[in-house]
Amino acid sequence: MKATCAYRYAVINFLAATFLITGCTGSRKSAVKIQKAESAVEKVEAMGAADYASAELAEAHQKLEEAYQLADKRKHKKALLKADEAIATTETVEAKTLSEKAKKDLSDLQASIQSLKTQLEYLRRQQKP
Amino acid sequence: MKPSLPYHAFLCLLLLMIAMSCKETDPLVKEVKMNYKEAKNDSSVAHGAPDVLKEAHDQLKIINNLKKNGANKKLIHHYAYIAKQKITKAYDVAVLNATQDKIVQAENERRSVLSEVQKAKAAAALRRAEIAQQQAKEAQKRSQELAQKISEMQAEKTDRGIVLTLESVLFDFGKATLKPGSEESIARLSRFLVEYPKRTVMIEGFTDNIGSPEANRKLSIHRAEAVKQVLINHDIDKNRIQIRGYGEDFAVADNSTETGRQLNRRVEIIISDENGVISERFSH
Repeated sequence: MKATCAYRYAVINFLAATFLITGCTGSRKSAVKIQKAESAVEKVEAMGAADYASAELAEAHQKLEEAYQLADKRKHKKALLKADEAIATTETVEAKTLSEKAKKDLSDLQASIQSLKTQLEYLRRQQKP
Repeated sequence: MKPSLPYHAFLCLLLLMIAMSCKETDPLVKEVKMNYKEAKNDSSVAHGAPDVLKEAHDQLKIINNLKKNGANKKLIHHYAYIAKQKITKAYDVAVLNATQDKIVQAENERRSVLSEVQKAKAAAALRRAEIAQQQAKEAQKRSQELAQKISEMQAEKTDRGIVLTLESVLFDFGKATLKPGSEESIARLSRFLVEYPKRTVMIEGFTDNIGSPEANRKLSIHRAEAVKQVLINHDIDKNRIQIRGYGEDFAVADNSTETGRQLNRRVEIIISDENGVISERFSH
């Protein structure tokens, strides 16, 4: 009889510990993910995303904000998913920012080539006797 | 035995449930599947961002598995959102890669054009140097020609310019009429002025000290005017000719001897510089 009681206590303790650990793990995972999303947003902002993909950046901010709110409510699984969405949105922001910057670089380069061609034409005209 | 009514109702309900399960209920999932199909068929995306497109495909596979396992709609919606972002990213990455290729080409073109510009600049500098050298040679030639002309006119270079002196022997005593012997000197001067159209002349008349200063001044002016008229007769523009009469002033020799007085009875013609400038004679 005593052995049966001891066994029951052990099972209850084990379950309580598992529950506690699982709960803590969920919280930690969502916190890590949210932090990752924050870093991703900060990174694209530093790249100048506000100038090239402002709507998408606003969406990433919105997702991150939702993740914060869910985490505050201890809805860690949902918070983790929102943070994932924020990260995915930030990747889109990054790609768009880089793409737009590259377009601008190309445009500047083409303008520079045109300017050089004009200069070349002028120099060649001068060369003609 | 005929099947009962509840049996038929059950069958209909079952079919309806199957049909509902087959039909896409989340519009985002439907949109994402369509977008993925379009992106896959777009060669620029398929070739420009295959890795990102695969990531989108992986998300769609997760969605299918979740649906098979009867996962909740919110979870499926989440993966649909991720898939949508991946597809959008695929388009941007494809544009980025294509643009970067164009940048590489443009940089090569720029280097090539820049090299051409540098060559053309070097050629232009060489040409400028050649022109400058040629101009220097021409200037030297002109200077030599001018010296030759001055020598031919028996003129001399002074601080005020080139001075040609017509001595008293070319005028009758007390008169302002040029003798025939002066023609050759003035003809040479006219040819010089035709050849150097920017140059102007100032004709200055002088006398000895015999007679009143006023009469001498008038005589000196008349002599200068006589020379001016001959130049005009040689088609020299009158605006290029100024005259001055200084009478017995600015004597170049002693008026107490006949030889000295003869030297003082003269007309001097000052030829301007290339800009037509002649400085006035300063009084004593």
